[in-house]
Amino acid sequence: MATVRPDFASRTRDAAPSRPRGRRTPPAALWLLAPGLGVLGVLFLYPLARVVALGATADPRTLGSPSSALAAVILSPYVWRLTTTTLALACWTTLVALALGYPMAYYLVRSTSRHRYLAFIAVLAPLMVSIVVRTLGWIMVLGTDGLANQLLLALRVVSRPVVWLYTFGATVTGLVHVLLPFMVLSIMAALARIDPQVEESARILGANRWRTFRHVTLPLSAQGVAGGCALVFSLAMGSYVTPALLGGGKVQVLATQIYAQMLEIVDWRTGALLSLYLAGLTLLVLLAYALLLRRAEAYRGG
Amino acid sequence: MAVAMTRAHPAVAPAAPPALELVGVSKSFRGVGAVRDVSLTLPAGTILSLLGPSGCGKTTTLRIVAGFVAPDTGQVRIGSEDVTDLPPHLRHLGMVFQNYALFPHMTVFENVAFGLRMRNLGAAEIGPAVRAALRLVRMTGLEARYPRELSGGQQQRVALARAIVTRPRVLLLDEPFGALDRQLREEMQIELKQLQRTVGISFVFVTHDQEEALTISDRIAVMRSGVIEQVGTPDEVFEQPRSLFVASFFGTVNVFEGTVSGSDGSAILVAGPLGRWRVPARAPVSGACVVAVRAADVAVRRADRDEADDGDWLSIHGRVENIVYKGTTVLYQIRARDGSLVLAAGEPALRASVPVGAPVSAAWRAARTHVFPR
Repeated sequence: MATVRPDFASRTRDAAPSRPRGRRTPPAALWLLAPGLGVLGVLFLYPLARVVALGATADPRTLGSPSSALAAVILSPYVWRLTTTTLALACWTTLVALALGYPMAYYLVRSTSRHRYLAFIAVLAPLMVSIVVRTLGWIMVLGTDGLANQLLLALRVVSRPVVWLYTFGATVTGLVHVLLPFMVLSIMAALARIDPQVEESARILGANRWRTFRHVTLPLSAQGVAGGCALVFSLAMGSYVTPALLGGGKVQVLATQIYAQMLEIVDWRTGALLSLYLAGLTLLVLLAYALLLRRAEAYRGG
Repeated sequence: MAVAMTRAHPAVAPAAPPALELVGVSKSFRGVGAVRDVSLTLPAGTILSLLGPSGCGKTTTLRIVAGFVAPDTGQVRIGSEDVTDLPPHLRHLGMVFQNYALFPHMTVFENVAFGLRMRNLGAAEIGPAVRAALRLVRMTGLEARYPRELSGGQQQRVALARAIVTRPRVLLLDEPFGALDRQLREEMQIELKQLQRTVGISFVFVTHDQEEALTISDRIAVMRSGVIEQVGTPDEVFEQPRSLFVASFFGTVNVFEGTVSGSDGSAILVAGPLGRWRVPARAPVSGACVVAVRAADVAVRRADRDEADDGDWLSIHGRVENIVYKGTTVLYQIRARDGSLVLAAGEPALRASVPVGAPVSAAWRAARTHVFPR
């Protein structure tokens, strides 16, 4: 799963200047970090160290060095194909989740309807059901005899069943469903901090709804958008269950290949090298993304 | 677009149409009447205050004028144009909020320039206009700051500049100084009044602070439960309140119950547990009534130096129960013979000659007495 989560939410523009620079955290506060660090250490750092150790063992067949083995794995055309598929999957998932999530978040924050709690529960619902169950649900909907095809056939929109299952599109659909709550919650947090009267100020100053959104709402919620995208992207990069079930072997990504290497081919070493490669790749993309954001912010802030 | 800020508006031009008119405006939220049949006129170039306790409908009225709330019935007219169905961005108004509502992601300059940009003006026009507006509110030199780098008072000046730079037809102010401390608030009130004279824009000013309303306004509309109780100049609403609510909104009042027992031309006779009083009649009252006297109008005297009531003065007798120190004044709590409590204001030095426990008479001019139906 996700290995890196840059904490965009805590870098709120408003709080930044009031926080005194260079003041040291009192030692007592460090103890508050201890339980979290302990759990991370046992459940994350130790396995990571094991994976690194596994990857660093010499190849029993060729006895080549670990670094040349890593290079060989990364530079193979097959892994390159896996990489492009994984990146495309994560990017598409992020884009679709953003396109669906922003309007939902806006509605949930701004609506005064009594039914908005139902909508909120609907958004959170995917988090309450196991990923496997949700994905199997999609198989029932998208399959050749699935709900969607039966409906289209009954309405005579199509004459033979459409093949959705085990395609890239089906995988994106499933991932968006799973990861949408993260996008919505992240954007909601940003939108909720915007004072409605700031938007009203823009309106009375002559901005119509679109220009108010463009010049006020969107820039003020950019942090939430950035955080939501980083979250969804990194979760999609490491996702295994959805590509495995909805891709059905036809959509091969790094995570499914790692599983295959470790548990089907039982080549733990290659699996470990691929794991490190995936983690590094995700980290690299997120770092580039963070740098880009900082650039944009510095440019905007003058 | 006129953006020259120093030119005085021809506010005194004869027969100018009112800047703003509300005609029979009502609005209910979930069946509860927030604003009920409100009609108001704002003469061009003047300041009208909407004054009342929280929940009286004054802010809803302002939001109806702004276009954020659509009235159920009635009409909003700005400069004789019916704007009832016009969205806020086409009404050409300005608005200042209590919490400033500046754009946090924009500098002071960008904040003030926003309204001009939305009117698609070029940089050549925007620059001088923004600087002129900032000069008017004495914020020159802070153009590059962000709102979070300014104090509350400075932010409110920027909000003012942002609202007047587009030369709105009416400027709406929703408790603009509510978040400022007292001294700054009083400074800003005087500055706002001067600013209004300079730019000549008509203001609608919402406040729950009666002192602020008296200081700032040309006219005050006192609201209660969605209804306008009284509209008038500050003098009128203060000196001639038309209801007990209006009277008690401007400072502490003593209230006595009584019955109108008759009238003779310009005065009516009221009989109550504390005596029979002859008070000037401003409006016809009969039957059960209440008599209201401001504590500030009641003078305390020692009862042993009793002076007979002449026709001009009314009085009650009692004993000083408590004296509350208020700085420039003291508030006497006097227990009258019938057990009721009467409040009277005095100078702090009075405490030496009229201490707690002293028998006193509390007297006020009959002309300062108000009678309302019960």
